[in-house]
Amino acid sequence: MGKRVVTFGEIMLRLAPQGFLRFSQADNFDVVYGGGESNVAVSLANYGIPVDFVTRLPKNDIGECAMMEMRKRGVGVDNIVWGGDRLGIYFLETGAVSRGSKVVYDRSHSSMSDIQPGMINWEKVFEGVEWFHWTGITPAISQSSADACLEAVKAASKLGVTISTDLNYRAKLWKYGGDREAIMTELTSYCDVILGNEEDAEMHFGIKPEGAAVQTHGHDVKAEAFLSVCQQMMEKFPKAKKVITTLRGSISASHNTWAGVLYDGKQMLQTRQYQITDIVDRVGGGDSFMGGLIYGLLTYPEDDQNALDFAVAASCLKHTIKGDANLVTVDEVTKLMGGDASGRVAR
Amino acid sequence: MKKVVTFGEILLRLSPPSHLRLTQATSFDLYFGCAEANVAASLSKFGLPVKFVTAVPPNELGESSLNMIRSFAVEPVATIQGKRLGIYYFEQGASERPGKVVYDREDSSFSTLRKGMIDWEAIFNDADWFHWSGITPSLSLELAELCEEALLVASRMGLTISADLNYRPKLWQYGKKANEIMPALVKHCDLLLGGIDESEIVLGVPKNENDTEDVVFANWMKSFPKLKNIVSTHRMDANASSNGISASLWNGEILLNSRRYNISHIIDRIGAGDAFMAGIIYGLITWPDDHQTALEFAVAATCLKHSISGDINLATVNEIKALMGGSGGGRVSR
Repeated sequence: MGKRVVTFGEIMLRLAPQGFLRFSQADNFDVVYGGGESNVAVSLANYGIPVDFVTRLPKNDIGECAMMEMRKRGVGVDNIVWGGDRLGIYFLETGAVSRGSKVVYDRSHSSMSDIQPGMINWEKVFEGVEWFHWTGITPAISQSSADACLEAVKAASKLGVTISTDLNYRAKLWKYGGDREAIMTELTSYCDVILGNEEDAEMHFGIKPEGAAVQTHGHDVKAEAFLSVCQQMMEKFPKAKKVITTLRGSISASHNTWAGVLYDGKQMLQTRQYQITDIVDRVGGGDSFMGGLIYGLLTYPEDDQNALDFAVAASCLKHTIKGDANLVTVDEVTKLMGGDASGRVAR
Repeated sequence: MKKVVTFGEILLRLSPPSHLRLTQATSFDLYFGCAEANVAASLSKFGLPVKFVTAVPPNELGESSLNMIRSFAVEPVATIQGKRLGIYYFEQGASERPGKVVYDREDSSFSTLRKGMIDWEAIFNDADWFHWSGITPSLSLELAELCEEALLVASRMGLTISADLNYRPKLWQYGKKANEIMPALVKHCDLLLGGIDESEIVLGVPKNENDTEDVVFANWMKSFPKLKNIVSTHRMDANASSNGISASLWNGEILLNSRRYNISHIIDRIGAGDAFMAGIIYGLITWPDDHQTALEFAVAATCLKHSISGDINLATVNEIKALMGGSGGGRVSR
């Protein structure tokens, strides 16, 4: 089977108080294992794409749990390397209505953040692989993981593998003192497909929309404003063939609007806007978009509109699913794309 | 009444519910605890005024750990600094499968404490007892030095000092052996909880293979002349679900032995030693001239702890006295 995909990044233990309890009320935590790149891998595996997740895990029960979760979802784990002290953790308090969700990171000195270039045999990993995906989180956690990421991207590029990234700016990371703009610019210059929103573009590359202001707080998220961002991105990164952004309108922590745009250097494609009125779990929303997009671009290579519509519908469904990963099938996504948003019980 | 002060690192404990293995868990029960906080909470439950000295990060987990301490009416004296609360994962054993601990406590807030950061004089000002354990000096040389700083001030101010040797082979990873560090700390103690197996490895006191407890403990008192009482628990490890437990006390003259309890269905054995420690501190304060009663109280306290989930012994003085008095039938009290 062709079209093998590899994603690379950190999987973490997510500890979240049950339901909508605050941290200070919790006496147990729901356990989920996830991370930007592993979530994309799980999405792809659900859509039937052969996919391998590469990371570094500690040799203890908690590291094993993370690997077992990948295996359970049908993601390849043979290229995971073992070592280091600990699995990174993030604590998540789920928001509701006017109370936003809250994340406490506890990921310093994780096995993945201590990864060094040379630990992974990328030539072997990329054998028979068509697509490599990384995100802006990996270079944000430590200098050595930024170096390992660059090593991966260079190897993929040399072997002619299509490269995608989700810029994924995280204000709470980037604490190690690396030059964010220089690191991200070099890594992104190898990419064919770039996913990022206006905040990612501004924080990583200082790119701001010209003319129209970007409105993200109400119902009316203006796709036109992103055209300028996409055009500037294409100029800065000539290898990029497509720049994509999600359009999230945050009416409250429970109600978001959701759409996407794709710019291919010539035209700007848009999707319909979904109303997600009762969010169950928005963590991994962007990852589910990326998973849908990679699937769409691989499956409908001549029809970017269809690929984009698939990505938006997929990630719309993710907001209804607890946990980091999007546990939906191609049929469920295409049904929503086809206009059936009734949420009726299928029987 | 003057206060008891305990000092140590409070950890987040994550445990799969009931007897699930770590690799089966889809949720973790959440507890906060550590040897010294467990002792503090238990003593407070017995009605003694207690302070607990520690360090936690400026985030929701640090705050939650202090809230737990406060819920037991223990006064937290916490340095708020650093990045993370230490964690340990604990998988409950059963029958022939032993319990399992995975530590994840490096780079914790507590590990960033240094000499000079804590105002011991102010803390000990209204106290007359200081308790520490061998876990703190096992974490780093800096923490061993901080422990010594506390002990020097406590000694100078005339506090009674107790310690639980609490030897953990998985700790002591910073290049010093326990017996290179512990003797300088134990010499300040009036009361020590330890076992004869720890004689050489922790205290550096030689022990012959056939030496009995009274011989070994007499040697400890020669090496550490400030010691007045040495206590020890004896676990007859049937398996992870069922233990016999008893205890002994050496007061420099005679070796007292407690009655033996059979604990046939262990709910949670974490914190059992801490429950004993709190029991003996309470016992020696309450019955200063009756060491046998103090010892019986402590062993009954730890016996009850085995029936309680979590790190902390949620047993009251009355419940412990009832068990000491022979009410071991576990009948519903009504």
